[in-house]
Amino acid sequence: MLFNAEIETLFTGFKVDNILIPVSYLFYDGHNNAYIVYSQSDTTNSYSADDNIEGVVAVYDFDIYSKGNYSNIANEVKKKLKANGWTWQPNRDSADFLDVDTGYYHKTFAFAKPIQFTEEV
Amino acid sequence: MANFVGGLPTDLINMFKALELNTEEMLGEMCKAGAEVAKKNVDAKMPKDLKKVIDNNIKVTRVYKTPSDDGINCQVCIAGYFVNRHKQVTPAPLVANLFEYGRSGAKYPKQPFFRASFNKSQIEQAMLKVQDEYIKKLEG
Repeated sequence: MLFNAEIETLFTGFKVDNILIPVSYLFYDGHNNAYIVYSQSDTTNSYSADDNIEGVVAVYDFDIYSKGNYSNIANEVKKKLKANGWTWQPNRDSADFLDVDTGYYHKTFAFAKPIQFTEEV
Repeated sequence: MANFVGGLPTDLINMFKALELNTEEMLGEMCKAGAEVAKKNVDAKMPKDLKKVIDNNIKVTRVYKTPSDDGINCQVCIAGYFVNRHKQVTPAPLVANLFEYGRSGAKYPKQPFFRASFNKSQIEQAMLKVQDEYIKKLEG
């Protein structure tokens, strides 16, 4: 949950092609035609000094669910995150999925961002 | 003009020769050692519910060479099928994907375990250990 607050702020009122896309943590309980669920999936490359972890790189998954073409949503997500210091991790992305019973296309995009701890963890 | 003529000790030359001859075998074993580390991590990180059904489906493939880039590879993968509680034959990778990436309408959050199991430094360490053993063997 290292960057949840930042993500919530970044994606408040997130609109693509003038359509509001809900962005929620871990689970979305709604019926929008497109929505995004984010979650922290991993932490890598920890930096330590004086027997303390000084910083890590947090990896977050952004799962885009859409009943139509989601490429514009994906591009906007990438643009927004890149502008705020995140790095796209294509090797951690998912394949393209279609959930046949719900009709949603689904793709996971992974992004990473380093964080420096200011206090002892 | 000053000249210097030097020679490598025969032992060292023989070691380089042996290393050259055994490079592919060594790289293969290094690859396998790295994969085993990742497999162990997958085993440890896999959610319990999933482990119950696909524990035997985590595999490390044989070492193979890709002709396009002369790469020596092996893969950690989830393969095969299992019979679920409704007696249906189910592909194990499909269920693993569900846990790894989640799906729409699922009442439970996804539980990524596979991608997080590939710890670069841990894998490199295991591979370098094999390399060191090979070099020691040749030295001795």
